[in-house]
Amino acid sequence: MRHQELINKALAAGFTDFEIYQSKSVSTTLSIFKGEVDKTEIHDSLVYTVRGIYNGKMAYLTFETNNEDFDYIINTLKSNAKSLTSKEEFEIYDGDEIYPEVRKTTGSFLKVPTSDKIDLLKKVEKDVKGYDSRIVNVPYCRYNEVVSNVKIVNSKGLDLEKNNEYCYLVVQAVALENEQTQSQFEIEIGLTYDELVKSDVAEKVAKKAIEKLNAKPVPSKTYPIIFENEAMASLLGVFSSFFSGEAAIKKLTPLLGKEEEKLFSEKLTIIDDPLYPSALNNEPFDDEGVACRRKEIVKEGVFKGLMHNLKTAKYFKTKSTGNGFKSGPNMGVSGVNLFIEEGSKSLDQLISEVEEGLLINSLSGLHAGANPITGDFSCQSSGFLIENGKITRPVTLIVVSGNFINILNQIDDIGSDLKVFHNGIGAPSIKFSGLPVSGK
Amino acid sequence: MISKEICQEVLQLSLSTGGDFAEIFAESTYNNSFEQTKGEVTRVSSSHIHGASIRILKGSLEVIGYTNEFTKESLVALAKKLAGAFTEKPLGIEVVLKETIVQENNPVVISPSDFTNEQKISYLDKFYDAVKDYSNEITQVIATIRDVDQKILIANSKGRYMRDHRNNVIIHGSVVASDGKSTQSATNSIGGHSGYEVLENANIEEFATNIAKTAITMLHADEMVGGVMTVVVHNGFGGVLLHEACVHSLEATSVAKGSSVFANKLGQKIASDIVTAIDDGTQSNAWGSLNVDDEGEPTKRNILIENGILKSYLVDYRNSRIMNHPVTGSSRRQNYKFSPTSRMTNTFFAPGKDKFEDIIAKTEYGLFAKQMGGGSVNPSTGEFNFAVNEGYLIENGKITKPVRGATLVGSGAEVLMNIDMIADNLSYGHGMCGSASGSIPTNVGQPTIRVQNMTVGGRGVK
Repeated sequence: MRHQELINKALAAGFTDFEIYQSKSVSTTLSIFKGEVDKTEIHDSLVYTVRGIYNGKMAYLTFETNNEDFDYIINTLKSNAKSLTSKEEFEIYDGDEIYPEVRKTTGSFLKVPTSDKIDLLKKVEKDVKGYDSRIVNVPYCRYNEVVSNVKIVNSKGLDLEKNNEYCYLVVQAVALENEQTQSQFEIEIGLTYDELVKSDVAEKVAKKAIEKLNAKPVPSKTYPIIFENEAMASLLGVFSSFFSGEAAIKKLTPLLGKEEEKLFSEKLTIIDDPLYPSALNNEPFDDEGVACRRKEIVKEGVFKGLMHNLKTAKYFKTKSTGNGFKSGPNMGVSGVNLFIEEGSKSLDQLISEVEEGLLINSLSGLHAGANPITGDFSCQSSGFLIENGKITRPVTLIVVSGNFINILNQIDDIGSDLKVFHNGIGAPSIKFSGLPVSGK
Repeated sequence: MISKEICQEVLQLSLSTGGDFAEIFAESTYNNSFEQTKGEVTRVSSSHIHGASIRILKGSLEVIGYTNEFTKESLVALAKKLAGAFTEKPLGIEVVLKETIVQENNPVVISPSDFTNEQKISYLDKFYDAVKDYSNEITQVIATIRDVDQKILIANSKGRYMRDHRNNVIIHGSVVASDGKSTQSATNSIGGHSGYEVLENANIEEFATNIAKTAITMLHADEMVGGVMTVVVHNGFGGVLLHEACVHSLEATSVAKGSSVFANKLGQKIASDIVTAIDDGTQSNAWGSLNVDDEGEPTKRNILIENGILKSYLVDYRNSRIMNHPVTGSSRRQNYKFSPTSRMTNTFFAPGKDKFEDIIAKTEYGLFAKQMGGGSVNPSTGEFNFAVNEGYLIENGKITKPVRGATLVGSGAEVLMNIDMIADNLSYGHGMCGSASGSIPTNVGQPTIRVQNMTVGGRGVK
C-alpha cells in the first residue's frame, strides 16, 4: 500500500495526526494423525490498522487488503472519531532516540525441508505412543512456524520495522486406564528448528497424561497449596490486567492509586522484560513505536506502578512504559514477558516441606472462574495429593478458590523453576499456606 | 466477489494433483464496535475483513490456505501452492458450477449500514440511563455494541456456487458495584442474527436494571461454601451446561479422532431418560442461526440426544468422510483464515414436564444457579467447569440467601445421567464460543433443570 499517500490524504481531510500499523505474517502448520499428514495450513496474512486524531479524538480501523478504498478508510475514521465523547487525550508518537537491540532472526526453520518436519512429527507421535501402553491416542501432533514483520509509519515521521520468527510443536496425549481417560497438552517453543529437534516434548506430554491416570477428588477442606509454575503463570495471566493503565482508567483494577504501597509479601517481585532471552517474543518497541524496556511492577512486595500506553500515560500524567500493544483493532496495555521472579528452592524441596497438601499443575476455565476486577477465583484444578512430603496420588475435579491479592500477601515460599511460557507470562512454582478446596 | 468462471478455473486447478474435493470460501465483512464507559463514548472502531481461502481434500487429508486478494492471479497462485502438497495424477473430476440461491431464513429489517453511529450509540445511552441512578454502590458501567455485515461466497468442486449475506448485532452490558470493601460485577448480552431490530425490539431498560440488580445482590452475598450438592440450573444462559458438559464432546472435531468421551456411542444411553438435546441452526434470526453453514450446507434441526439416547453428532464434510456420518449443516469458521469444522449453532435441552416452583420446592438443600457465566471443557475427558454469576442457596424447598463465587465442576458423562427434573420454561442466552475454528456466535438454552451430586466450589469456609 502507498503509506505516505494515505497519510497525506488523511492530513488533507482534517486529521492532525495519522498512523499506519502494518503486520505481515507467514505461517505454516503441519498436523500428523496416525502416521499421516492429515492437515497442512498455509497462512499468508496481511493486516493494517490505521488510526488518526480528528478534533482531538482518536478512532481505529483495521483492514486486510493492499487495495482498500482510501475514501472508506478516511470517512469511517472521521465519523468514528466524531462519535467519541470521552475526555481522554490522545497522542501519536514521534519516536525515541534509542531502541534496544533484539536478537536477530535467522530463518533457520525455513531452510529445513518439509519432509524433515513431517519426519520429526512422526517421530514425536511414535514416541508419545511408545512411552506407555496406556497412551491410547495422540489426537494432536502439530508443527507450526511463524515469520512476522511489523511496520509503523506515521505523520510525525516515525518509520519503524521489526521482525520475529519462531516455531513450535503442540502435542496432545490421551491415556486410558480403568475406564478413566486423562488428556494433556504440551507446547514446545523453539527460536530455532534445532531446539525442537532436541526437545523431549513427547516424553513430557506422555508422562503428564500417565501421571494423572486414576485421579480422583479429595475431601473438601482447606489445604496448603503449591501452584506449579504453569498453573501459577495462568493465574498471573488472568490477573495481569491488575497492572494495566487501561484497566486503571476504567477503575477496574484494585491497584488504582496504590503505587509505592506494600500490598504483597516481600518475597514477591514481578517484572516485565521485553528482552527476556528465551521468550518467544522480544520487542524493541511497542505497537505505538515507544521503546520497550525492563521494569519492576512489584518489588519485594511494593507495587511500583502500572504499565502504560501513550493514552493511559497521558491520563495519569506520566510517560508510556512501552506497553501499548494492540488488542483487536484497538490499542490496549499488556506486558511482553510478565513474570514473577524465582526464589531458591527446587519444586521437590517445596513438596518435601508439605505435610498434607496439594500440588496443582493445571487450572481450567479461568476466563469464567476468575474475576479480573476483584482478584477472586474459583477454578477447576487438577494435580497431586502430597502426604508427608511426598506425592501420593493424582487429584482431579476439584475447585481451588482464593483471592489473587490475598494469596500474594501470604506466600510461604517461591521455587527456583521460573519458566516464561509461550503467551509471555511466566512464574516459578509458589507455595501458599492454605486455600479452600471443594472436592468430594 | 469472485465470478463463477474464475472459481471454476481455480477449483479445477486445485484438483490437478490428485485432490478429490476443492472449495473456495471468500468473504468481505464489515464490523463496527462501540464502547461506552459511564455514559461517555470511549471507543469506536471498525474493521473490514477481506479474503478468500482455498481448501483441497484427498480423502480425509486437508490442505488449506488463504489470500487477501480476490484477483484471478492471486487465487491461481494460491491454488498451485496448495495443490503442491499432493503429487498424484488428477482424478478426472470436471468442475461445473451452478449457482444456488440461498433461502433467506434470517431476514434483516435494519441493516447496520442503515443506522448512523449516533443511532447505534443511542442504545448504549439507554443502557446507561437505566442503571446510573439504580444504586450509589454502582461504580462502573460499561456497555458495548458490535455489528457485523458479512458477505460470503462458497464454491466447491461438486458444483456448488452460492452467495449469502449475514448480519448480526449484539449489545453487551457490564455493571460493577462496590461498597468500599468488596467489589462485584455482572454482565449480560442480547443479540441476534439480524439487524438493529434486535435492539429496537428489546427492552434495554429491563436488561440493564437486571444486570445492575445482580451486581448489587452479589455484592451483599456470602461466599459460597463448596461441597457436593444438588444444583438447580435456571433457564436461559444455564444452557451453557449442555454446551460445555456435553455438546462440545459431540462435535466431529473430537469424535472423528476417537478422542471424545462420547465417541462410538451412537444409539447408546448417555443421559437420563428425561433428557432431549437439540442443536437447531434454523431458528429464524436467533443469535446462533445461519441460512447455510460455512460449507454452504443448509442448517438443520439436529436432535442430538432423544430421551437419553445419543442420536447424532455434529459433523462437517471432511469429518463425515472419516466418520461415515451424514453432514449436519454445522460447519463453521470465525472467518476465512480458519479451517471450518463442526460447531454448535443454537443448542438447548428440550422442555420437560416439571414446573420451576416444584423443582425448588422439592429440593431440600442445594444451589440455585440463577445466572451462569462461561465455562470450558476438555472433550477427551469430559471434565468441565463453569462459573455461577448469580447464585442462591436452596434450604428446605425455599430459595433463601444469595451466594457468590460458586464454580461448578464435573464430568459430562456423569452430569447428563444425574439430571432428574426438567421444567417447561425454555429460554436462551447469547454467547461467543471459542474453539478450533475460532470464535463464533452461539445460543445456549434450556429450561430450568435439576442435577444431583454436583461438585460446587467456592471461597467460603465453614
